[in-house]
Amino acid sequence: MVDIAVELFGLRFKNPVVLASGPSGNGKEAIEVFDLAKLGGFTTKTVTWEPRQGNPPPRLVEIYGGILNSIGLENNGIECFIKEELPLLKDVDTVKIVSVGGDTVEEFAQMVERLNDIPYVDVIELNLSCPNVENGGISFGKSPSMVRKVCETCKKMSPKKPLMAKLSSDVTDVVEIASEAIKGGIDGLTLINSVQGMRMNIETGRPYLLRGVGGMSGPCIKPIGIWNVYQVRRAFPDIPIIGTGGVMNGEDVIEYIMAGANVVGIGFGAIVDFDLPYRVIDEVKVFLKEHKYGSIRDLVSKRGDIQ
Amino acid sequence: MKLKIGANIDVKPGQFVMLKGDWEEPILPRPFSIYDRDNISFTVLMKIRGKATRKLSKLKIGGEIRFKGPLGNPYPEFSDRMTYLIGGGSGYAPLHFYAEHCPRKENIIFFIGVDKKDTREFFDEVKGCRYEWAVEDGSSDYKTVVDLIEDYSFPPDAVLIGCGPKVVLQTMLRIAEMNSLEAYVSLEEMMVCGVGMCKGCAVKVKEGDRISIKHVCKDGPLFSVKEVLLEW
Repeated sequence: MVDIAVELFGLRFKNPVVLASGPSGNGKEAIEVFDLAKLGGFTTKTVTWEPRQGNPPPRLVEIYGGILNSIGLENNGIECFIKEELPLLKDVDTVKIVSVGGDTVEEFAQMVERLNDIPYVDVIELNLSCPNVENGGISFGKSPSMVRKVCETCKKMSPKKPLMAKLSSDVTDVVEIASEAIKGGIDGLTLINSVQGMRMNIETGRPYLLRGVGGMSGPCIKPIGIWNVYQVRRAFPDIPIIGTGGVMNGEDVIEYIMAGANVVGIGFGAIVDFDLPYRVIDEVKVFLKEHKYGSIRDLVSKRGDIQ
Repeated sequence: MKLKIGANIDVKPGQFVMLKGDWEEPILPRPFSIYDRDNISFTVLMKIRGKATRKLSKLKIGGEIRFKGPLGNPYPEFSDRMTYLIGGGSGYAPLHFYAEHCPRKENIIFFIGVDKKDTREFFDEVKGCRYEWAVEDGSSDYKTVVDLIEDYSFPPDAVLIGCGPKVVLQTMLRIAEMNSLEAYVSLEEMMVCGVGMCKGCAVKVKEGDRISIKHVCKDGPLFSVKEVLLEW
């Protein structure tokens, strides 16, 4: 019997597979289509302080090996989330990670403070790809000093809950960004967010997405995710990492763990095929068994020194 | 073409499935409204548009197919009202299924647009319903459904249900507004999850004086013309 449980922040993930933030919404639909108790964890879609309508359609366009999205953080705002959506997850036996986003450092901090009062929230994840309206709309995650500031300010508001920062690969040096987040006191890092990309509609001569640029998800971005996780693990041997981006099967999970991830997130793959997460977990078990590993720990020991 | 899939699903008129064969690429399953069903199978209409539909068209009898569904909400029933089913192309599928299940077929009139006479013969007519075909090749009284419905006087208590090209739905919206008719349009937006999680297939609706967001997969595909805002 292989042991695929992982422990992070004193929390037990029954297996290393979590649903990543975004594609599977806030739980209302996910509890109907997934057996969340079979998964290591569930990450909510990013919640903001005020409700947001999101971007006008088209919000999605297909790309080779995945999808390009420009949803625009559509959500009902934190109060509705806490009153109507979050309670649906209260008794679900899985690690619950709530993703928060904001226009300002203050907004991030307010939400972290608010969520610290909710006992069944296990982890809070800061979506740093949000544009900082106080800094010309440049996303928080692209500025090392802003990352430090958000993490520091939010960590002060999160005495009860571990805090993760979700980093983007669309930066010059992900290690520098990770370093600032860690200096800011962050408990863990989720890598990576969706990757910036675009498609042109050759009939109209305009971008497919109304907002032009979008975030790429799916197997096409896996090598970028793996590279970013690898770099950060190499620089920081001990920081908890959730690796995500393009996971479609058990081997992809093993690959992220070999690159340095402790836990692995599935976003796009899980909503294309609702059976995928369980298949992935089974494939991880089969891999471990066939390679004679008794546990994920053994697998990690096999990982070469990341240099 | 018609694609018949061997599976017994409890699907109702207006609902759809997302289909994919056993291949790696393209990754996304495609949405198709149900055209017909029985205890052992269901049928969809498919036009070959790109990679996925080309691959679907090459599946051999007995070939494996994966699907998600039924998805979406069934169309409401209006059996005692004069019901006009308006559309074109693969939009005929849910209207056909709807009419098949309607107990009072004499109350149904189809206004359907197709490209040529052959396509018209490919679409099975539902017995007992009236049909007006608009054929682009000029082989009928009207070339387009838009011309047909613009020329028509709908009775005040009629119900209009539209599924087809955007220009047809926009025309329906305009005619319904002008004549205070009860009308519904079936919308299409690029979608991935099909159940309302990913927020991809958003539509703007007005509820009173409030504007809010709904989703084609979870709240539709049918929306009342009174609430839907076709342009953002």
